[in-house]
Amino acid sequence: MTKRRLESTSTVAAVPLALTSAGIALSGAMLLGQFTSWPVFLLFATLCYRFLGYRFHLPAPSQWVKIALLCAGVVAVEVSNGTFAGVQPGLEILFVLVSLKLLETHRARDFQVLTILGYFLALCDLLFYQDLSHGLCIGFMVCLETAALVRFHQDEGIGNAIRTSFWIAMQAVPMIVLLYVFVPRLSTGIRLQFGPSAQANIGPPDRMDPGSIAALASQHGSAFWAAFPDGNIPAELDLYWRGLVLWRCDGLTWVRGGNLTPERRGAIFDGELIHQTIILQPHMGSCLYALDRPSSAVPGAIYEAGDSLHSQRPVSLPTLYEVYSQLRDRERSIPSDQLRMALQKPGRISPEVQALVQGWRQDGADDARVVRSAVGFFRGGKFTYSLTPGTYSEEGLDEFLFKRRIGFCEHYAAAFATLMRVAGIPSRVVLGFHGGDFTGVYINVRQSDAHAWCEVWLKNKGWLRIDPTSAIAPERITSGLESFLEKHGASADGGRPVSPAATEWRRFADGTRLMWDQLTYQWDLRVLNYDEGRQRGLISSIGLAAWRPDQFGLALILAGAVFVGGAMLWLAHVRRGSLDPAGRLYSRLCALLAARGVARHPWEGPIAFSQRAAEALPNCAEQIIAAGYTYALCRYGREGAHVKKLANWVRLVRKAR
Amino acid sequence: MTQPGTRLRLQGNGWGLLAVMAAMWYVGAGQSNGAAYLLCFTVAGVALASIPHTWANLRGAQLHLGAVEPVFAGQDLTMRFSIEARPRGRHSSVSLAIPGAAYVQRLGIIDSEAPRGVEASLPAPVRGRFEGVRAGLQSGFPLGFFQARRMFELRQPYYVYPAPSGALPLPIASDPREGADFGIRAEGDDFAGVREWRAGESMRHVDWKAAARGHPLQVKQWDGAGSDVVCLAWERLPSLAREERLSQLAAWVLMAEQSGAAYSLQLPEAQIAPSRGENHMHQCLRALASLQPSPNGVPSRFRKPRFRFNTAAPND
Repeated sequence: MTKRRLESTSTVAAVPLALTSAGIALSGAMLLGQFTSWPVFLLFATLCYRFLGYRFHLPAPSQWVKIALLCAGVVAVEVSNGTFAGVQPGLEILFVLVSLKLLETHRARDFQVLTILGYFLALCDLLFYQDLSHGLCIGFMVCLETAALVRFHQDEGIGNAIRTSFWIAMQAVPMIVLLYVFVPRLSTGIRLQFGPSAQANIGPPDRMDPGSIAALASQHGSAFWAAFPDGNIPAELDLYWRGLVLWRCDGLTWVRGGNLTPERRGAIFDGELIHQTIILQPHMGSCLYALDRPSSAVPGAIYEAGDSLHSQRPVSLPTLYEVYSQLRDRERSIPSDQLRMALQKPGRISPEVQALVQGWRQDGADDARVVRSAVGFFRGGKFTYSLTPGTYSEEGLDEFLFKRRIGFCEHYAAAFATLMRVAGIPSRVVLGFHGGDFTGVYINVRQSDAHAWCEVWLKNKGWLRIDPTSAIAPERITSGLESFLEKHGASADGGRPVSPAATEWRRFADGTRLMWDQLTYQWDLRVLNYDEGRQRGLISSIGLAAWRPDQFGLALILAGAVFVGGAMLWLAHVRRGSLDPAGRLYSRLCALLAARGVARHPWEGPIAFSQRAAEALPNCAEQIIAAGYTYALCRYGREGAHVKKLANWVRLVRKAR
Repeated sequence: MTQPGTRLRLQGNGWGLLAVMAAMWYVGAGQSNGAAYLLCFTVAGVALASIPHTWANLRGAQLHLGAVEPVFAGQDLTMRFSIEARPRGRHSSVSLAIPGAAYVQRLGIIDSEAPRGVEASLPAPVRGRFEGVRAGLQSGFPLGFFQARRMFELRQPYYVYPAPSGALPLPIASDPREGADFGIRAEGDDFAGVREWRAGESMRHVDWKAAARGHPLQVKQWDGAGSDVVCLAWERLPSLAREERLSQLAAWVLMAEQSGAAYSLQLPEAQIAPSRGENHMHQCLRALASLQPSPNGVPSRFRKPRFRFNTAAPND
């Protein structure tokens, strides 16, 4: 028995199959980091076999091989996960199935199923990635699948297929927009959650070790965007974005601390309310950032001690929230457990540190004086600000304060707060961001804007923000990290003089990045965060607030019908437009007569037809014969002069009944 | 032929797409994932936008059926279809479908400049006279989730002869002049000269040797003892069931034609005068095929064969 070859078994041409497979391979590649990678490689392997099969005439795998592969795949999923339940094993099995489907895509129906699986894989990618770049990638995949379908059904070469799919996509746009904007969004109450996402930004963690913020600060991506709907934008120096508050101190390392009594919300702040709309990128932590210090309640958020806002579940999707902040503190009392925690000293304090702090306390200086002395110590102490300060040992505090004196903002904040505690002044460290690029509409705060600072409690003044970094490297605070690094030659190119071309390039890259950021902002605002509430807002803003969901449903179905029907009419008209005027008139005449029961046979000429029709319809026999003769004259004689007559006769036929 | 409209319907895989769209919607709602909503509505919008294209692609395509050669029941009918595109039109991914026979043939592009002919080979399990075929053109262009379909009732009468079978020997020939006189001289075994060949006549008796010598086509004629006629009569087979009788008669017709004897056919509904030759044979077989199936005792499939839109009609 000869084996059946792949290319003879399959009626699916290589080109559409290649397009679909490209889409599927792309979706597999995107999911590579999300689960054990062997199912994706199985997919790639079957793809290779399929296409090498076309080239080298490989046999089509038999039913038994496929069944064996399926069993092996299912067993492998069970072994690697220990279970079939859950998203990950489900995805793995899906990939095994898609791989096998690729091997046996021989008929039109298989191809159709494969493409639908391709759409489904696009959805699987969206479970994990929602940002703009992945969104574009997934959009491209959907285009590939659609073009593959068109190519499969058109048989006219890839160029034509792309053109046709492009037109179909363009025609679909109005309907897509309508559906997207108006199909009622439901809050189902189900929450689908997926494991830690590889692309999630790593916001400040729950603890601060030397070097942990520096690692963050070297990233370029956006952390969040903040827009100010009231147009009330604070000065750049005040752009401290509060995140996590750390209470427990161990030298240079600070930890979040236990459950403390939160502050009494309400009348503890002064000054204008600053309204912010923030779109937070997923960081898998719970922190919700806001301008220092947030004073209003965010629905669903928790206030922790130290005025830090937290969401109830990890931020795994871009999240939009509204928050009000006030810049000045009016707090005068502190809960006793907070006070206790804020005075907790590190386990071991070296005599040098003790001596340093003792020096500030001389002459019975009060807390405010001590704080000033400490700031002075950092300002005049030949400290260096660097993104790459090297690593500090366990006894890092002494090494940092007295020997190397080089550090990043977290070193300064941690050291300062620790010194305050040694001096008996309540202190805490705040992790967050500082600054951001103002783009005209919103402030883009990047990962590289991550910052840490210190707060001390002074009687009758409340918690006071002290940013020791500003004492060492004031430009870092006024101009942001990136330009600071640029000026101080610490950027990636190692401080060599910058050529004009490089500056030009830099400007271009910055412009592109800004544009991309703005696109991402729009994507997050208008696509990812277009939820029930925003939909209601938009609908009431165009005056349809009174409509019920069922009315919207009805209107959408109606719109769909009009859309499809209109396109049909248009297509029919366009096709008719391809005839010349006389042909058009004659086809109208034929349609008229067909409606009265006399249809033209395909082989009938105009004269024979008009005679037959005239016999059948004596009422308008004369007009019909005249019309038939005139058309014959138009067609076979000299045309121009007769078209008007023909039009006239056709009109008369229509009127005569 | 009636002018059909172009009908649209959702394909099986269209339901699959709907299921995937439901999954997209579910993810959008469950994860508050605006991107999943967007994907769902994009797929929905594209599928909607493909509907008019599906419809317009097949609009105006025409299907014609050429003459169908008769066959015996159990053999395959060959139907020659021709597909004509809309004037200046072009139809992609067209298939020819004959729903009754579960026949689908993919044809690809139909262009107005190059009309296509297709030969479909279809089993003909049941004898009868048929008025035509119900066949359709269909296309899933551009996405395959919807299918456009144009059904045609193609009027083209054709015959399926009863399958020749039966072991009974051919009845003995007798001189009709002894009994009823049919007034027709039957052909015999003795060569009686030639006459000119007439268009439409069988080529079997053409005098090819003479033709090779440059003479016009001439037909040999026989005469003589063969004035006897084989009388093939319905009444002679009372012991057989109706369809078996027809099969036996068909077998006899073939045998008689083979033997060269003149034969006549007597059916309850038709009498065919004695003669011989190919035309006569086909006339007899047509008469057999057209015989009304009896209203009772014949399985219903004889009355409503699967893929014809009209069942056996009485002999005309």
